[in-house]
Amino acid sequence: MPAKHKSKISQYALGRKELEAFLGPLEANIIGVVWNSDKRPLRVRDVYEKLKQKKDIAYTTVMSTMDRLYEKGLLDRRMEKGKGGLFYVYWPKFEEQSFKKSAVREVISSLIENFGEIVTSYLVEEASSDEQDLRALKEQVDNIMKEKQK
Amino acid sequence: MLPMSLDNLLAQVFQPYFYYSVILLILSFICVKMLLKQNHLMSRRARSITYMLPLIIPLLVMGVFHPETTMQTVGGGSTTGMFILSLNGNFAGASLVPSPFNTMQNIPIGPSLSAIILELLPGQVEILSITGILCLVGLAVAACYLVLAIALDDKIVSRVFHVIALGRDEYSSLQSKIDELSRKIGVRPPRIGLVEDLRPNAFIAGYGRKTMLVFSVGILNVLDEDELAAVAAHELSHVKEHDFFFKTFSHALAIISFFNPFSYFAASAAQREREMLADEEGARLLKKPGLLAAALAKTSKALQGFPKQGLAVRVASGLFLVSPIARRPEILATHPRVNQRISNIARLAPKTVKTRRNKAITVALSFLIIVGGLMLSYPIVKVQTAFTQDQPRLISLRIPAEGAKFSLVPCLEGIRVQPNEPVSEIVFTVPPALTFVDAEQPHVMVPACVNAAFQTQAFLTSKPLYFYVFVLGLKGKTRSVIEPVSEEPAAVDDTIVLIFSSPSTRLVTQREPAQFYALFLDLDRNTSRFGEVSILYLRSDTLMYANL
Repeated sequence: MPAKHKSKISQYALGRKELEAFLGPLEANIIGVVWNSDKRPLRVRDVYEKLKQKKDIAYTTVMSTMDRLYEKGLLDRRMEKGKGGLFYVYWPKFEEQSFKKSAVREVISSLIENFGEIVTSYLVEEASSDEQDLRALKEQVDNIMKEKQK
Repeated sequence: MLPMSLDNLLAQVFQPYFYYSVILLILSFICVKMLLKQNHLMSRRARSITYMLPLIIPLLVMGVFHPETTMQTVGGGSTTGMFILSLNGNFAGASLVPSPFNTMQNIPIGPSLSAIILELLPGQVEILSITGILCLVGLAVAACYLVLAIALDDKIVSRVFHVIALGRDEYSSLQSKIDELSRKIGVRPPRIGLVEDLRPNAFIAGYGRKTMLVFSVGILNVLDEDELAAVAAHELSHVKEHDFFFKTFSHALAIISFFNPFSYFAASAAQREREMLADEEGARLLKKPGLLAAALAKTSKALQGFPKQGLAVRVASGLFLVSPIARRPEILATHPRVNQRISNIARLAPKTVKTRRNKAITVALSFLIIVGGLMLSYPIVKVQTAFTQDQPRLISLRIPAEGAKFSLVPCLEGIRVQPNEPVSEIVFTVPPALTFVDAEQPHVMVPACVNAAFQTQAFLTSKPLYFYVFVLGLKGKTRSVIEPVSEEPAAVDDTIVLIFSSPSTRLVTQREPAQFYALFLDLDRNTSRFGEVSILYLRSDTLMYANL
């Protein structure tokens, strides 16, 4: 994934499930609503009303969380005039799959950056548990080597 | 039929309900403005109420002169009329006359007279009165607005502005500050709401239990908590002063004269005073005038970066919100200019300046305004009456074409005669206007008129008899008309025939039986008497004016 599409993951919490490993629970909830919504872009109010159906939540909390998601680069926004005045409307910068992909890459590349060989050898180990995977990996490594020799 | 000519337009403008309500509102607004500009004796509250006075005038005017959707006017360009007398069914003669009364000398009259009078007046037609409709629309819309605002204000605001109720745990320290301020000022703590608007704004909606204090997201971002409390103190002062009702009534009164820009000026001026009053009270409540001033300055600075609100939102916030922070041209602004407000808050201490000089100026100015107003009222009435007088416009005569058929229906239902009294009165009833159709032109619109002829005798008199007829007609609906009847004195036993026709154009559209009332009054009460007064002829029918 090109660098400009890089999502700004600031954390990875072990023991948390799925998106919540990267984001706070409310953040994960909100981005989930944004991804699954048919209507785009969304105003804070829309998200607030959707979340309110499931649990008691304050509007201002939703507002500040969406603001944070914008700061993190997960949501994009613009000012819009409409019912009730002038407000921000939000839409996701990445779709769900591409976000997950880039988040995983970021976590792994950060691991490689910090712990280099340990990580790669672990990955090779993981891959070698299956013969087919190992063969594919070898092929990939060979290809890369060939490219480099050229 | 719509009025097309300038004459019609002028006649519409000079209808008393329109003319007086417009002119008097403007004049009184100027007077009030002059008075309050020089006067520093009155409190803000009194000043705001004084600004409302001009707005009440149109309501009073329309109470006296009821607006009507139609009015009568002279139709057609050449106004011609006809006057014919026939004796015993035979055509007797016709003459060019300005009024029926002047023809009496020319017509042979005896006890067996049966007079038929056909008077063709200038085309009297009923037209739509645009000014009357404007006035009625204003009244109706104002009434609707009043009902809507009082019954549904909080609901309308919630819908239009998408107000979200703030939970107790959101901005909890601000909320408890607001509760404390409410207790201090002595009002019920309002519900707190939020609108998504990024423009800094705060306002009050509803009243009583329904009162809602609403902040915009913008103002929550821009101001710190103490400044927000200062804004809340300002808004709570509006609640304490019952400004919801003040605003609603001033808007309703302005809507009544919606066609008159001065009504908006007066309403806005009144509300600016309320705003200043709330500033002062809010600042006093917090004991920190600087905070509200800082909040106002910050808010107005932050507002500059944003585009204007949409028209619908601006209209709704004007009509249904108390004290929204909005921008409008100065004269229409419900809020005074920010620097004006800040300096007003800063010099809170001397609220009114009761110096001798100020008192003298106030008294002199009030006197001047009252005297000036009275002096002005004369030309105002003069101009109005000059344009709306009933003008008899019998100009030319025409004998009806041979074979023309007229339906003449004499109708006399009641007569009361008091002979041998200095004053004789006759009361008679005429049925609704009948249709008079020219057989050749059945489509021509013909207005109705009442004609009557009376006969009496000078009786037991040693002096020449001069007399007057008062035609009162239509139980007060018609203006009293005093017609001098006799120019030559009548001698004893002279038979006098009096002929008159309906004096007012109002009769032309009479649709119900109407009671007429005629008084015969001799001028020298003690020496002269009328003999028996009898009605020779009475007719209510229509008159042909077309094709002249």
